[in-house]
Amino acid sequence: MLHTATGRRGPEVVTCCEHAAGRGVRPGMTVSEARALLGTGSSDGSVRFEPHNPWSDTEALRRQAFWCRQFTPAFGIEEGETPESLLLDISGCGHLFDGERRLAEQVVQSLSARGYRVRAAIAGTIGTAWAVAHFAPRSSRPPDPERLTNPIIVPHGDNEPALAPLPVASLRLPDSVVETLYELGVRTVKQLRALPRAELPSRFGTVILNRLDQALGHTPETFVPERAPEPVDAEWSSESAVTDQRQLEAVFARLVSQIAEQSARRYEGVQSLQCRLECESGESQRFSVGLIRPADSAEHLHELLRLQLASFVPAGSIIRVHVLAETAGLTIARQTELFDSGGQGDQPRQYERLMDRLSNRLGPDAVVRPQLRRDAQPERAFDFEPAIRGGNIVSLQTGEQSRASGSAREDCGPCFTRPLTLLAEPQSILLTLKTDGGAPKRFTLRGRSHTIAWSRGPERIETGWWRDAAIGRDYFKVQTTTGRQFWIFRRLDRDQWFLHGCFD
Amino acid sequence: MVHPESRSAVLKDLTRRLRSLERSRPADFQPRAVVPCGIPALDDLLHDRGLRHGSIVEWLADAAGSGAMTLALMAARNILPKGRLLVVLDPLRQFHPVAAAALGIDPGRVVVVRPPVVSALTIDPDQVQPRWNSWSGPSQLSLVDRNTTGTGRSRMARARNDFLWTLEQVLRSPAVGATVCSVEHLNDHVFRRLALAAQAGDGICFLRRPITVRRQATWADVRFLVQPRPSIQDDGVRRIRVQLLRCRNGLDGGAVELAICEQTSAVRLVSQLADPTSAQRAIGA
Repeated sequence: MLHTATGRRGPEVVTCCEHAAGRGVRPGMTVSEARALLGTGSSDGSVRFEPHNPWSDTEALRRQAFWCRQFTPAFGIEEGETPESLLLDISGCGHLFDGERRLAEQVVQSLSARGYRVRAAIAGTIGTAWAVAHFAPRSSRPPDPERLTNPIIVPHGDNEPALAPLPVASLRLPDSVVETLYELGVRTVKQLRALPRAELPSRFGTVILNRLDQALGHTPETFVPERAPEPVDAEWSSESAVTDQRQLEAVFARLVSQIAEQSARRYEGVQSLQCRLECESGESQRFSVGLIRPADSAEHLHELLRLQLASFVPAGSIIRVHVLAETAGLTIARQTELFDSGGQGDQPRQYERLMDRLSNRLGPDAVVRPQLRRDAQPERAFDFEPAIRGGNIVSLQTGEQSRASGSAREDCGPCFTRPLTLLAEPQSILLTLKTDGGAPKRFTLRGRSHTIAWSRGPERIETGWWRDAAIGRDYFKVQTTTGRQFWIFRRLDRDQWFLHGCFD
Repeated sequence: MVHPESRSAVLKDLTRRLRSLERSRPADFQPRAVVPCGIPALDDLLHDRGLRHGSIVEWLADAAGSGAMTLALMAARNILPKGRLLVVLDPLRQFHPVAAAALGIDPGRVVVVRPPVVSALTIDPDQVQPRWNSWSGPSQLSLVDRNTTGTGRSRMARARNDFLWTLEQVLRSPAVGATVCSVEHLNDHVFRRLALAAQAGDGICFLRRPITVRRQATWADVRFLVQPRPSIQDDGVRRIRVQLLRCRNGLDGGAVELAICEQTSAVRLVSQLADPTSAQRAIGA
């Protein structure tokens, strides 16, 4: 997986997965260079190029910040267009975790367990902590999982010696200022501090002194802590337990109305609903409802809940129901025209509603979109991807998708060379007669004999050797004397015949 | 004895009255748009020279490999309105998108829905198409019923309900322009419900069904019978006979033999089939 964006040299790699990094792909590299390094993987669809979305990155970072509220009540993210650091004010929190080091270790371990690579530092100022976390030299010893979780702690009053050997970029200066300093031979904070302080503003503006003073603690620096929004939730409880499905639906209808009302007051839509049901026995059950796009319609939410309830089996009589909603800003205006005709402009919304309904009842893997791949092996020449990927809907006919599928479509060849029905597993058949040339003449499938009027082939497919799953098959398109057409093949290694599809 | 001229007039009058009866509609009837299915020979068979939006079209075929699904998908490709989806219900996971793309169907406009199947049951590979039984209720993905214990029946009933629910939801959605799926038995009220759902969604549903349901009542607007025609050698053309078994508001019984070019998927008419009894009468048999 590679995230790309348009840079000075055209499309460039912004980030990439470990697999791509292992093949030599680096951020800043052009996409064409990355394709060259990744070889065939970039063309057969096994490597995905996705447009980089900085807003999503910021939101993901913000979610991690909220998750860190278990360590401190004051948490946030750094300012800037592309923030990449979490800021936690742990003043007075250390004793709750057996010391600040232990607290920082728990933060690193927890975030690592969530799949992130983390470097943490504790210092008396935001500037020093940021600089040390980003630029403090790594241990020269080989990577040690235990060691990697060790945070760097700058003792109180040691900001200056901690910063001195670090590069000037560690002061969070603009790139242009850093470049100028490098051209002047000023590479470390120590060298920068050796310059006459009074002359720096006239050469570089006030930013250098400001950042330096912030890092050293001479000027106070604060960050804007994130504030957790008030939860949108609704609860029902009763001494008389609910046992009937219809009663339960009525309870949920009332709760969903309350949820929709609360979210509407905030001008937000509901992204998901977490439902918890408590039984008389004390046992509790949970289920959740996810939406592709935030919705504010109580009717739609209730319909999705009913779909879940249809397959929900209560463990007993229900005495309490709690529904917690995750909300987000509405992205679709309710009405786009004065006289909304509900015509073609409404199609995307209708599509999303259908996907919501199907995915919530059948599961996300049951609603899929076909993707064509460039692979000679028939069962690998296509794939199905969930229509809802990571909570986001795969849009209808996006440009990128169209181009990709279009190029793969060119490889489909003429019509009727591949059957419309392809068996998930080829079925073994018994060839009872064949011509002198080895072409099939009659075969038996599940005890029923089929006489072949003509056959077309063989189409030899030998591929997959690099996957350690090499296949060698001779395919024949055959038509029986009754006019039915099948796609059968002979395994080259075993001389065994299989039915692989029907030209239905 | 009736005079030939008056006999002709009576026949004309009866024909006119029959047409009038056939076209009788409720006062609030709103005519639905007709769209050619893209295969002129089939359009000519139909009363409206095309398929109506919000309708169900059945393709009856004897067994797998007959070409019924090919014709259904070709028609679905041609009638699919801009901005709307083609949905394929594929519980057995056998839909082959590469072949569909080769027929000219854009994968970017296709959604495949796979309602859950009962894993305890097995698939009959000779049938290839899913078989449905009707031992309890409307329609069931039977997949050769070898394990119909109480739990098995309940799971099968659940799978059947999921399938029918999915089909109805898809038909009812205005985002869907065409729906393609295979189904065996449908009881009357379920079929009616599906027909109303298709009408509400204004798409067209193509149902691939076994020939055994030929004598059963239908709520479909159009019912075709598809029969593959054998050829003794591979000439790059696939021949399929299509007979119109039912056409709403029109006369049925017409049949055509189609020749589909395997290179270009172009369809041409081989010959208009004459009524065999007329032919026998003509030769004095």
